[in-house]
Amino acid sequence: MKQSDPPKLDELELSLFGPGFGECVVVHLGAGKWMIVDSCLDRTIKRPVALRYLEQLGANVATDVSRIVVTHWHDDHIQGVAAIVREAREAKFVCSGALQKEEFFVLLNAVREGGKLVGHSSGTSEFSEILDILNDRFGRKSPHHWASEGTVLFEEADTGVEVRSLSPSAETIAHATTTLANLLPKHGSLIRRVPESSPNDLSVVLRIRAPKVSLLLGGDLETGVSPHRGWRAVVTSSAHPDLKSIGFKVSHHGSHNGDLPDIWTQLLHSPPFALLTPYGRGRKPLPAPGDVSRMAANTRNLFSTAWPPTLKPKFRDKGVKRTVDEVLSNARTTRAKPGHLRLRVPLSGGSNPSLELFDGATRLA
Amino acid sequence: MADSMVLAPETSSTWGGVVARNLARETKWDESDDVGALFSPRQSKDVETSELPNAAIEQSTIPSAAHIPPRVPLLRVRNSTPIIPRSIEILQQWEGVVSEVSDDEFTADLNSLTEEDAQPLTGEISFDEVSDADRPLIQGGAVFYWVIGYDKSPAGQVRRISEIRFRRSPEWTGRKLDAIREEAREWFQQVIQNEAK
Repeated sequence: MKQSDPPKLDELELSLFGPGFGECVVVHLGAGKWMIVDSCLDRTIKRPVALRYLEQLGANVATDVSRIVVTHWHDDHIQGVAAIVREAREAKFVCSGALQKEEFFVLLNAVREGGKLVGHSSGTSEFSEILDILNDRFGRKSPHHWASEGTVLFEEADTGVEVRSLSPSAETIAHATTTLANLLPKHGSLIRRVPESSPNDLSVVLRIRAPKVSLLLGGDLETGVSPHRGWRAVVTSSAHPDLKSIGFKVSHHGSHNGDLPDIWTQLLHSPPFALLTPYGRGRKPLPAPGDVSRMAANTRNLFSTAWPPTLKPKFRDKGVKRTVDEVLSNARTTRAKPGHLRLRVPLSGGSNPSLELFDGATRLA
Repeated sequence: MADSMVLAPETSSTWGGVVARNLARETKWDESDDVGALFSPRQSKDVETSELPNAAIEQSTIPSAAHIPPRVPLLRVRNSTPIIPRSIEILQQWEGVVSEVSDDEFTADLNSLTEEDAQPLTGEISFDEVSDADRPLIQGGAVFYWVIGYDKSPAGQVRRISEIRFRRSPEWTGRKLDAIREEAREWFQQVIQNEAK
């Protein structure tokens, strides 16, 4: 099938995009309705990959996108999401309930101030722009839904499709005030870019459920230590999926701290289609070789949108190359065009799912 | 032809006077310039600059406004040895953000400021590459600039340069923090009201 062939109206689709830095999931919810989860850019066209793909399929972004979900605010999940919100005029905007805190809005204001000093934006400044768009359009400077454990974000009676968030947990939301307060600037500190929060326990996990089939989107949720936070809270939750998922967007780029054995045994159909995006920035690119082995022990259907996670950069000028070699150790970059994994399955289950690989996506196991 | 008063090599110490040096900085030295054509016959002096004492220059470069128009140059400079000014050719410039800091190096994400389409880079940079004055600024979220280029000296020597300079951001003041907190409080109240509807 060609990349530009649209899904059937009675098909569920999970399309995952990622170049090595950034991640975006595009989901067909049936009946021509779409959900976009997070965003990354196609640097070859300088446009959010989700918009490019939906246009390729012939979808009308303005009317066919029902939900835009931002799982958390990190740079690699939010690039270009403001542009999506601007074009998807009828979509409702969803973000983590852990951000429904006064401290988060202080942080947004601080980032706006700090952003004047920095050329390249951070996730939080993109967030500010989104809320400004919502204010102009709907007169509400806030998301339509704050996702938390058990929140129903979308349901369609005709198709029987439901989207429900499984995280963040109540305890995570309660602790978010402290987590966010630690990120706020302090008197006398230098104005600079707001560092990304760690760990990723504020992230949204989504379960997309059709009558006979379900998909699990792991966001960047990490396991954590507390049984009431992170993945440990999801697997013990009363909002636990009653139908095991056949497709899984692997959490946190396949890192060991985003994985629990219970995810594979309790939430996923065996063997699931496990799809991931690599992460080429940071000191250690993800997934590490050990992460691939660990996941491969749980499924024989492990795929990555791009592989290896990083590339060696090329330079036109020899002088630049020599200097970079001398000064920047382990210099690395990521692909300009995101790879694409596409999983399609009938809403009614029935036939086997189909998985397609485009633009450099690779099978890992 | 440059519209200027004095043509002089920036590095000429024998010129001494502050006025002359500052003007020289604003003037592009060009071998093709016909220096003599700038002078009126009445004021022209054919002198060797190295023979001219500082005091004489000071005196002659600050003439009486009643007699000499301010934009007329005062010295004839012998144009026998053209001097190429020092120049910096920038090959690449990045804006970097520190993402992680370890004992002796930091990890940085770099975006090109010279080529819009250039690949973003990530890598580790040793503290040794950063000046002592800038090292206290190496913190997560700190912004810096990295320039790679060629430094071409007046003598024609070419040297590859790499300079990393951290941005000295202003500090958060109590007043500024209070202002963003107050604005956030109002914003959050709107959010709560939206939720209640």
